[in-house]
Amino acid sequence: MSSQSPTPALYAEYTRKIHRYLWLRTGDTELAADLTQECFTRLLAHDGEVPIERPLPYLYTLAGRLLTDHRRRHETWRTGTLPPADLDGLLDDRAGPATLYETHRQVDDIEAALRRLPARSRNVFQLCRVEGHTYREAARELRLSVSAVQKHLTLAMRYILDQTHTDDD
Amino acid sequence: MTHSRRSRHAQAVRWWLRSQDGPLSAAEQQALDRWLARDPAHGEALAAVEKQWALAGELAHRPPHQRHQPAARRAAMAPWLAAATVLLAVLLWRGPHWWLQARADRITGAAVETLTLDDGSRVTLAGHSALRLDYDQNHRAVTLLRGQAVFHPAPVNAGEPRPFTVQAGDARLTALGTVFWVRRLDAHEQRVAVLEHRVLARLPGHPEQRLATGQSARLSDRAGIRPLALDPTRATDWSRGVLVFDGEPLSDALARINPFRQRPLVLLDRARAGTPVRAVLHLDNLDGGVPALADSLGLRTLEVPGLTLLY
Repeated sequence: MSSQSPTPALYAEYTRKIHRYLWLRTGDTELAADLTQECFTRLLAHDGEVPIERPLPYLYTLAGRLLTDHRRRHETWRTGTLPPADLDGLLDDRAGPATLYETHRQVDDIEAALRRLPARSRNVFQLCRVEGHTYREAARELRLSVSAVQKHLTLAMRYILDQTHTDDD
Repeated sequence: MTHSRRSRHAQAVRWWLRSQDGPLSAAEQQALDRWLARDPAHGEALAAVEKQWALAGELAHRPPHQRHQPAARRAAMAPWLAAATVLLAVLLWRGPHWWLQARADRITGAAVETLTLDDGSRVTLAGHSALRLDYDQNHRAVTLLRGQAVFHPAPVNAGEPRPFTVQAGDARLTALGTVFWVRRLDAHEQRVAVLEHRVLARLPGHPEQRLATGQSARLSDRAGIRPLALDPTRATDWSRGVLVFDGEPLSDALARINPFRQRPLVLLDRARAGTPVRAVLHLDNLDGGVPALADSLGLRTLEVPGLTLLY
């Protein structure tokens, strides 16, 4: 087994992304930091039986679930409908197969949506996102104007949002 | 699909596209803040856009032929995760705060707190610990829901006949006129150390034991009540405002430091987990002490949301 360590820069990038995601969804910096911390705690506590090669989709899935849980439980303990013993059980729900499935499905769905896009929009999206080119580089490559690249990107992104289940449904 | 969801998405995509093209001007940032403040659904929409964009980036790392065969991924453990699993001991499972709020009478933040109960008993709660009081006519019962505490129960006498008992997970610890420490690791494993007099330790399914001054024990569902080589004074150093490390591995040291921090320390380099630590940290100056400790070990710190990375 390799002893290669995750780089601090990568960790920092993940935490920033997850924190911003949670902050946008809650408007609460502190809650976002708490939940981000919990995402990483759970990620690290994952027993590794099914290796998580790409942590980011997994982290987004966890973040979404923890936020849903938070909202539900917050409501629950306020209204007092769930006995504390049941809450104890809920606490230990580690990343089960459902979470892992959702993790894979999220990226599958995006890929499927991309495949249904018109070729030009798909190519623009591919160049800008998957291959990491700037608008200008993509424009040059595809012999388009920069504003045309932005239009295709907008179209592609709106189509992906349309075709995938997102949290604001 | 509603019209408003579509128009939210359109606006969110516009903001996202704009932010991809370099930092926002002050005026743009204000406009974005106003847009976000107008409707919580706006933040949700922008979060969705940014998430999908981030996840689309994953396609570059994805061998297409493996996509629908999760079983094929059961190869060697990903190196970064292998490193991470070692850190398990480093990161303390704290349990969600909102859940504890529903049950606890007292929850501490990163700071140590001393409570005086109605009967004059004192409890010193460590950072990130939670306690519930269940006093009634016949018992002085408290439940340690999370973390660790030092208990100074008011003695049983003519005026106070009720026994003082700490419940932690399945373990019940009854004071026999004592000062003692309890740490709840989880529902199935606890630690106890006796600083004065004796404690009666009970665990369902195992013979009970009396522990005397200077003795420590580990209580677990599987192994029962076993003696532990743990100096009670050392275990409770935090209640005197310090953490003393005398050559213990860095991973253990971090597990002791983390309850007293807002942001847990995470060691990224697993090869360093065994590094012996010799240091004294003062709880009222952890923010200064931790970087100094890191420095003395040749490590650096990086603050990220919710965590402090050590590398």
